[in-house]
Amino acid sequence: MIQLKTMLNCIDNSGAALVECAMIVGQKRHASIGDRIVVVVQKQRGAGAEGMAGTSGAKVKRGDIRHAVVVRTRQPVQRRDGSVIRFDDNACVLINKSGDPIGTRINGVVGQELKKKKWSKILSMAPMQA
Amino acid sequence: MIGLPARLRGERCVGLAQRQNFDPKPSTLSIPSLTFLPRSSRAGPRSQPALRVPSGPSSLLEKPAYQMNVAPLARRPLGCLKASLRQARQQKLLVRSMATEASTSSQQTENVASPPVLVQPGFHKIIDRKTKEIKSAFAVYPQGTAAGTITAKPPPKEPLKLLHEMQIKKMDPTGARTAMFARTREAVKPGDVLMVTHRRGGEPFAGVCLEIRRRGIDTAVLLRNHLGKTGVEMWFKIYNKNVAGIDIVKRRPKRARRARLTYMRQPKHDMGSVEELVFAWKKSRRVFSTTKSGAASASAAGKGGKGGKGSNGKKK
Repeated sequence: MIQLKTMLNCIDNSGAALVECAMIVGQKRHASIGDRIVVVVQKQRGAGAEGMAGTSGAKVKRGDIRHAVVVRTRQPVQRRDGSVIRFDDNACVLINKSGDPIGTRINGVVGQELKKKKWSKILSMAPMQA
Repeated sequence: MIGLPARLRGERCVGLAQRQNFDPKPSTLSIPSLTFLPRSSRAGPRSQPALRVPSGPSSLLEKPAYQMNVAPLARRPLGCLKASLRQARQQKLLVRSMATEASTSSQQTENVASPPVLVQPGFHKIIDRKTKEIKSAFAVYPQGTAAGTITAKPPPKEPLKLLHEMQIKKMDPTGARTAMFARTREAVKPGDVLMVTHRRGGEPFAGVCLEIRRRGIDTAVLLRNHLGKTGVEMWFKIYNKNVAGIDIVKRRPKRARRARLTYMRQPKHDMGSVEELVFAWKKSRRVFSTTKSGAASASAAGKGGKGGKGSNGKKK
């Protein structure tokens, strides 16, 4: 149940660590796995020294507004065969406007619902899916 | 000036009287019965005498004939509206043609209306005490009949339970899954580590059983595991055909004192990943199965424990 102001973990190597949901794209209800959202980057990854802006691999900065795809939710998601999956956190992967991921790697499990929503690029990047 | 309103008043009175004449006995005739009056009587006060004239007794006969037959007709349920309309039309015809012969028409209409009243055993009439006319009528059918036919068998006492049993028998003919999650000593309990294998490919999901939800055919288990530092919980329906097998990886050494181990979500009590347990179990299976039939079952065990035999895991 991702909605306005929900904080999500960003699990790719785009440089964002924590993002806040600002809008859900294309629907009027809360977002679930595989839905596209607009996020604001709140924390950068590798923020050992937070004042230092010049972290090398960061493609996004704090305060950036980006699109993202939800890949895990705490809210249980039911599947067609009656099984239900629930993760311990809310997580997303940043994408650009055309739908391609900004990062090049994903570390962490992603939901299988992405297959149904046709995020095959994200699925192929993910180390495992549940 | 003073006389004029008086005259006006008089005129009004006359007009009222005329109107009263126009509509004969509005108090006794109900509205539905008015509609069935012959057209000649509705036309105007001049034709009124034509109806009334023939004789005193005939006109007396005529009135109950209308009211007795028309009133129950008008209050019958909608289901027989068609029939009642047809009847009314017939009656209307009769009345039209035999407006002067009131006695014969009354006889006819009585014949039309009476058979259902007499034939039906559970037919009840509510008769108005003062006017002696039928206010309403209804039929009571004996129990266990639908549309007059007696059904073969009474319905079962617990139809839902029967349905669940039927469905379980269909989905689990051997009864292995039912036995695995029954309330017995050998059955799975919360706290055991299970592994669920899908028929639709994908990696088998292993995890500690937090809860067993027993709901007949909808019986399900909640498994929890860690996949790459993230906690993942999954519900599985045990009678699902897509669930190829459920294995017991490890028993909890001591019975859990809760039915639902939701406290295991807290970091303090979290088991973490069960990967090592599954790995050890697979290894032990391979050791056991090599004694029976060599490479085939070993590879099967490697695939996710689909075809292995002599192990502690139950295969479904």
